[in-house]
Amino acid sequence: MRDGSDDELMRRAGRGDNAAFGALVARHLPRATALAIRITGNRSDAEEIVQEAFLRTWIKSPEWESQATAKGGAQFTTWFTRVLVNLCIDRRRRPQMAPLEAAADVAAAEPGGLETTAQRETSARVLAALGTLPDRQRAALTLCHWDGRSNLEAAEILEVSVGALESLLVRARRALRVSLADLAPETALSSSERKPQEQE
Amino acid sequence: MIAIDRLTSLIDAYGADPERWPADERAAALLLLANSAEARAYARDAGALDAVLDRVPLRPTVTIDPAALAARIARTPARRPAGQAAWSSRRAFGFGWPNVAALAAAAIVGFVVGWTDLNTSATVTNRDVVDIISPVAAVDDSVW
Repeated sequence: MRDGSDDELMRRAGRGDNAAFGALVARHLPRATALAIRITGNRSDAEEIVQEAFLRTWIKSPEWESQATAKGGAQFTTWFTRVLVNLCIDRRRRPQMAPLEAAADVAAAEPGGLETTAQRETSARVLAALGTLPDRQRAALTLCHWDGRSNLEAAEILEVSVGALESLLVRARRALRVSLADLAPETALSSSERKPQEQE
Repeated sequence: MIAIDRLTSLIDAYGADPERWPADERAAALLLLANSAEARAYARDAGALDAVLDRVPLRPTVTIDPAALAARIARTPARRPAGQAAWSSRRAFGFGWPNVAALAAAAIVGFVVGWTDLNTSATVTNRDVVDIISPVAAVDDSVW
């Protein structure tokens, strides 16, 4: 049942094929959960958001075919990730736990991915630093660094130009370079201070 | 060949791993990198931050059962036009249009009562008030 493109599964789900919808959920759940955890910094919020995103997918599916045709074949993953990221950003605007507290909670909940206390602490530091970034900078960095999106995909998901995406990424990495300088001493000096001269 | 300023901009934005650079600029950027010691030093600097970021697990553990989630969502009774969630956030947090409809119904009743003189007028009865507000109430109920 996992056969078929996302768009095909979406069309079948729209016609009431529950198994096709199940295949779509199974295919995208792990990546969606990882993305939402990194953007929200909070596992329980992330899981709620992922479920909401899939509910919207189910509701959207009956009209997917006509809309995709009208838009020249909108990609499911781009649409779905945009829904997910926007839900994450909306959730982040509500009162929340302190970033470090939330990050420690997330890091501690990953027994398979972390082997030592030091690694767990580093992971918590990174997630906490990520949590202090403005929403769109954090979303941009998450999409490009961890989620493996190309610049074009990330720009389309965030509905910005590639230039604007790069600006978000530069500011995000610059801020992290400062806040995580003790973990990566080589990065303490701002890259802009040591830009090489033009060479032929 | 791209300018070194563009290469450093790519590194500032995407980090030192060429796999994360834009596909259409990657080959030219790598060529420049191979020919510039300073650019390589610049990339090493950015690579240190990449290494820190990469210490976060790539795929956090997923605790949701996809089959159970899909089955639960598929039991949602009615699919609606895009942009209208059937449950969850609006039900939990929303000051949605049902609230507005209820407010409007109350305003209509207040207006009718205030505009007519209940002591002297026999033209507006309780039945009339029910007739006025019932369409709004019916719409309100249909939402949930």
